[in-house]
Amino acid sequence: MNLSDFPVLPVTTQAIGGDEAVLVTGACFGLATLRLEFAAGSVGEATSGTSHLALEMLERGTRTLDREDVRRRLDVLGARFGAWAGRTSCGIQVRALEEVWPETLALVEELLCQPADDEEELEDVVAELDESFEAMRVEPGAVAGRLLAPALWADSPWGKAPEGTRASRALVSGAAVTARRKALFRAPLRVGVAADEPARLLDGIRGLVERIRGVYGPCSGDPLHAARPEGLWGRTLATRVPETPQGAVLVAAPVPGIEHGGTGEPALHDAIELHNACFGGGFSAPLVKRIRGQEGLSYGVGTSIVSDRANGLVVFSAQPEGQELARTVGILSECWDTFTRTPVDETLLELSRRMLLGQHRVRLETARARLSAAMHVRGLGLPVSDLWESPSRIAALPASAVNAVNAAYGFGRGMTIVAALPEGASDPGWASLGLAEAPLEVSRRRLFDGPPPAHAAGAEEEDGE
Amino acid sequence: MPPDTACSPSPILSAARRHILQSRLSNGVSVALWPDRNDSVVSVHVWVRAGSASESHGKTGLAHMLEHLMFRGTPSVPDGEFDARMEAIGAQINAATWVDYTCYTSTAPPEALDTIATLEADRLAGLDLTEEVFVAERSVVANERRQVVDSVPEARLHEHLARLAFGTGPYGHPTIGWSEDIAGYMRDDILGFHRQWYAPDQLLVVVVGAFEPGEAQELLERTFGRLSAREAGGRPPANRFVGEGQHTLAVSVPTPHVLMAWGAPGRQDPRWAAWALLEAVLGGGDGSRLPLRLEVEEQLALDVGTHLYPHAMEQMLEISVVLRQGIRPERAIAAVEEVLTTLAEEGPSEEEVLSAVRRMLVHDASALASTAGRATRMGESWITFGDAGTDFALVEQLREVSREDVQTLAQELLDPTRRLTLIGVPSEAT
Repeated sequence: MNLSDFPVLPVTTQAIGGDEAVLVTGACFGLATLRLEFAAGSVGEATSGTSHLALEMLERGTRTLDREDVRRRLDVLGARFGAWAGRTSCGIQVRALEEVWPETLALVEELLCQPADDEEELEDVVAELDESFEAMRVEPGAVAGRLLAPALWADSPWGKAPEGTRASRALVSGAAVTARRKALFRAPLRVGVAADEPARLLDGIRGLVERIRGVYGPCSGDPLHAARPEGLWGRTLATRVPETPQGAVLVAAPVPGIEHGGTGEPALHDAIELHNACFGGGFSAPLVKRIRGQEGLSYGVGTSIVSDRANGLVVFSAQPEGQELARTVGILSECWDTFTRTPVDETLLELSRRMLLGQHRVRLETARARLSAAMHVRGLGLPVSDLWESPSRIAALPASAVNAVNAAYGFGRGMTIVAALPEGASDPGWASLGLAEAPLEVSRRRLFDGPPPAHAAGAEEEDGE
Repeated sequence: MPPDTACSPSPILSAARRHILQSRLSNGVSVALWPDRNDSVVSVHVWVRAGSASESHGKTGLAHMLEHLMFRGTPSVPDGEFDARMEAIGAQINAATWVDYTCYTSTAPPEALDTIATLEADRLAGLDLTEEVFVAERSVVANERRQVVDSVPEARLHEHLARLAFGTGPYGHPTIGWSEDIAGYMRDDILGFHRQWYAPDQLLVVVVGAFEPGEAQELLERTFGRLSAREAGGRPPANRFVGEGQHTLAVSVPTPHVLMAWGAPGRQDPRWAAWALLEAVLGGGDGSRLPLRLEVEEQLALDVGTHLYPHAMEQMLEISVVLRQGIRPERAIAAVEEVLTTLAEEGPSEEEVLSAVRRMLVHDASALASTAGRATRMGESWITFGDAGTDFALVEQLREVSREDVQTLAQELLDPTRRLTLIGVPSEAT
């Protein structure tokens, strides 16, 4: 494999009104995918869960179609429609055959531009969400995942789940949902299209975007939130889960965001990605070999990088038995110490470079996957060419770049641990880890139901801008 | 304008007919190729016609355990080297075990094809496992079971449903195995299963993507063609649906779950397409009859799902209902029966058939855009039909099903003696 020979991909951008379109060409067998992504999400809302409900309500009826009609219409088109709200973005995605594309676009326009926001439907959505989260709270992996954000960002908007809690959702009115959607849909919009010939679909999509801007007002131009703050390091939070023999643990540590790195120098973020591949990103990485291959402690194990522009995280995850939880984290620490004390092995480095390049090639194989990746890099403010240029940069990174990451970032800087423990299990051996702070036990009720936020209780909902 | 799905052939079926090349190596290994220079990568799948249905009592999960150990060393590739060599060529590797098969998958840049074929053929020839490696991997599998079954109430329910549906038959035990069986594996059990089932006549090698078919055929003959020709030891016994009556299981669910199951023909059976259309009309989409009735109109259910398994032998059609707070299982069961009664009387509408066809086209176009997706479909097709292309024609088969066939099946489902019902009730700790 020629490491620097990464192909230029058929991904382009162009203006669509005052917004941007990302067009991806590829063999799609007559299937088209449209993604509308607004640069606004839950961190700008006053009451946790409002943005999520604003997007959920899109499928709950319009001024002329009730919920049942919406389902029937989508179904007869064979179309798949989904809406989401994350912390910093929200949007919709629809997939349909090109032969029914005009009808599909017309339906999407109605869903987005004429939502009914019926109060009874909202009550039902809230009740369904409450019940859905009841099911999630018995699975250790889901519980640990839910615990990470509050552990890192406590009561800041970043520490709250985009879906909110039972208590916060109960405070959201139909008017608040409508107001929040108006704010969200005025945020900068990115339109993504993947198809056999995406340019052919652009006229219809342009009309949809014009209609959205016409209904919700022109783009507000600014993101509705501030940058993600630094995490709180050195904390340990745990939640007990009934009727499970298995635990789950996530350990996070800080790394710089993607905007760090000097001009003309290899981007620091590339070095962090390569470093992660060497340490815990693949089956051959020493951490994975030790915890899974030698000790047999966990089926799923590894590290990954989660970054935005301002800052990032390296996150270790494993699901060992409850009583092996502290031991597993102890091995992570031990492996990290060994790894950082030793210059990276050249053979492992080369293997990791090639593994990352192969992963990029495979990950970007289909038009739909390229669309997701392109929307992600554009969301980070990078050009779409980063999709094929970053592999070449990684291929050229020297060992010194990885060793520099070793010395400066990661678990040595102070890790935050979250864990789901089997109910009734004895202490997993936290003391053996020499933690900076005593572990804090958080009840499942608080994690999923939550108290009403003091500032919002009984208050009128606002846009959150 | 693109063609209308109501009458034109599926573009995927047309592509499959144009591209798929099938042959057999000198030792009996089957080969299916889908070359396409427009692809940017290559996928190599090795399919073994042996899954959990080939296991014996007390040794459940052996096929899955072997799948894990296939990554842990051979006489010429020591433990750890397989992963390292694959990752060094940029390959994404994985494996899966299911009732009728085990498959090993790699997707990589095209230049990796030689190395993949060499490494895959090597581990099919034989393993070299130390006791230390064996014990560690057995622990990984035990952890996997605790993670994906014992900690997931829905998984525990489905495991119990299969037990009730198929008894001690080949599909009656979990593919991952019962906990006590996993704990009791010996290294020789694994090596014996490998010897018994990993014979050339049970193997299919699928290659999809950017490669030259003549060169690939030679490469496969040089690698997989060297495996010693022999026949696999036996076939799994026939599977029969034996489930009946109503049962309960306490699990940590917040509201009751209702699972209803009926015996259905295997994927090879010509009647399977009618069952597939029945399943699609009942619950294939959010606008299908059961979700509309139970989730929207009556608000009895948080979620309704239907599933028809594409297994080779007799299996089941399943309807699963997650009840809303305060709803009694009997009410949901009555609503399902009413939906079946109406379908038995009216049959599916033209719109419902069109909807099912379009949903399948969307599903296929999504799944088969990748080389790995096409390789998976080819492998599943070969496992079931002995031919890597047959399964691509399902959309056409759906179009040929008569409304009366669906009506008849709906009528059959109304016979209470043919139905197995399992109700998952919230345990006290929940």
